[in-house]
Amino acid sequence: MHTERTIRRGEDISDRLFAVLLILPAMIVIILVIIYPLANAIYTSFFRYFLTDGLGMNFIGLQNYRRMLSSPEFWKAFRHTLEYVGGTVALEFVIAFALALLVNTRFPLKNLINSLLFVPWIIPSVVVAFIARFLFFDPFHGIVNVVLKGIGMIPEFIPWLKTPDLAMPTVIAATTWKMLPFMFVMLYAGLQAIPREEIEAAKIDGANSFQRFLHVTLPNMREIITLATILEFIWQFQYLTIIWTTTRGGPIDRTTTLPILIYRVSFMGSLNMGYASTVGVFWLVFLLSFSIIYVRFVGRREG
Amino acid sequence: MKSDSRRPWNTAGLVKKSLRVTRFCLILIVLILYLMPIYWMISTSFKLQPEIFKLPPTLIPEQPTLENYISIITGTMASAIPFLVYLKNSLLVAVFTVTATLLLATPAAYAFSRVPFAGKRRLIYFVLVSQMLPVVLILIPLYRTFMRLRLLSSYPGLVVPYLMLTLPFSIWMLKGYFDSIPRELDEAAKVDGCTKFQAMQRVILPNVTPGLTATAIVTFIMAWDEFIIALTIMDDNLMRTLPVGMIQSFVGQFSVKWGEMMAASVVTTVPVIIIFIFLSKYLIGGLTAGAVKG
Repeated sequence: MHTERTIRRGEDISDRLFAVLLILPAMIVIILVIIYPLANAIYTSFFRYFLTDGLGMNFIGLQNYRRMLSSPEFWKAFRHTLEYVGGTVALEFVIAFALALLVNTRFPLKNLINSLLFVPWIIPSVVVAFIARFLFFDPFHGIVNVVLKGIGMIPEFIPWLKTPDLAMPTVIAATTWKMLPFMFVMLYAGLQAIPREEIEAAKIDGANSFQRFLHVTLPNMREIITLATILEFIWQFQYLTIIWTTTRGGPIDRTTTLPILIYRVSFMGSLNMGYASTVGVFWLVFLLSFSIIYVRFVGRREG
Repeated sequence: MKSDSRRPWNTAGLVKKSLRVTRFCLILIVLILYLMPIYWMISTSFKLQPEIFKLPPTLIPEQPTLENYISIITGTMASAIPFLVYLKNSLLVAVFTVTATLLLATPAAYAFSRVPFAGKRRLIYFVLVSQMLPVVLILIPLYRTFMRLRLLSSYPGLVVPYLMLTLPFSIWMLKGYFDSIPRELDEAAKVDGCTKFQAMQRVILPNVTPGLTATAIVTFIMAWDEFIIALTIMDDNLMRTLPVGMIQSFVGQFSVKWGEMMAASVVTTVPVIIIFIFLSKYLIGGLTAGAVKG
């Protein structure tokens, strides 16, 4: 028995080989589906390359970049992206925080209610878009219009998704509705993790609930707030399903964000892969700077 | 405190109690308003077009009907959508994605959590960043490559790109679970004479059922939800997944069939709801596990 054990140990592989065996399959896939295409896209951004005209790839240096930086269409899309992402994350944060504070107490059916509050997060994006189209539908029977007119908030039915200035707030509302639960569970978990003693101590010191919020809750929540908002920011930057399936970037490009612009340029019409890649590279650099902040932050927490 | 609130003349107790009741009512109102769109989807799916167009709208279907469901499932609707084919495609793609992701991510996450090797930290951050790269950008060369490899409109052609969404996330999430398992278990396995592979299998894996379950659910939801990659890769109508199939069939028609659209939405939502009913505990726990360190 004893000898058998020693022999087995002797046969056992080294840590290094073991790690390689475990990680290699996943790394190969990540390199194939992420790193190689990414490098390829950056490379393509320096070429004139239409998938439609059969002329192949022609090196044009920074021409795509020059075109991008002087393109009002591009800057508009960039601004819309910031509006969409900023609006969604800010709205999500405010509502989720209020909600987390509201349910941070004992009440009947708590587990059930908390689970129900999570449901919109798992509803498929396309379904959310369908519901939004239906709720905000003009001209006759969109329930939002019916209710708002019923209580006298609007004099006439409004075509929400077709009005240039209202389309963006409407898609932000729909996106917030779906994404809210993630922020909610994160912030709620943060509230739960605040040490009881600190709250009790503040109470004994005579702090009212607002002071307690300011001096106990917020400082304790700083980490999780940062984490949740950066994560949501990075995710929302990518997210285009709800916009694509409600407005397709319209009306008159008012909801065209960067991912929508890139998708349009690369996969519709002229299939201009070179220029689309260029816009993508800009986006990549911008997003990467946030990712680095995030990684730094996580790194600090990991110790 | 309890005895206080039982005394009716104790005003402080009364105030406290009424505040609690008010708060609970508020929670219920918020919940109802928040879930109203879902109710509206379900309710509409049981109505026929005339009732849907009625003003004021009916909260509960006056003449509930299954006609919308029957027409999307039997494909007798105006546009003859192969709805069941989409459903099958979505299920297969999601199941393949979950399987492939867990097979690849579990050993990698174990190594990141347990096995010492050079350059580990850098590799972990590499994984973390790789989930934040723009999908649409990656899609451009991927599309060209897959066209050359004749992988467009095939299951692997969709499952492989999905790994770029699911793999980094899953590795990171599972690593968090493995980290939370006490090191003593590894030591015990070593003393028992287990090889490294045996130690991994016997000691770690049975303990992470919640972790693997949570990861599987998130991966499933991601694959089930994904739209833009599926739209690009699946050219052939009969290979489309639900999200893409539904958009192509319902959007841009002359008159929108709201009833059928909502019925299709309900059917698309049911699988994730079923998973959620049984496994919500793991899912919510899993999402917040890494965020709150305590």
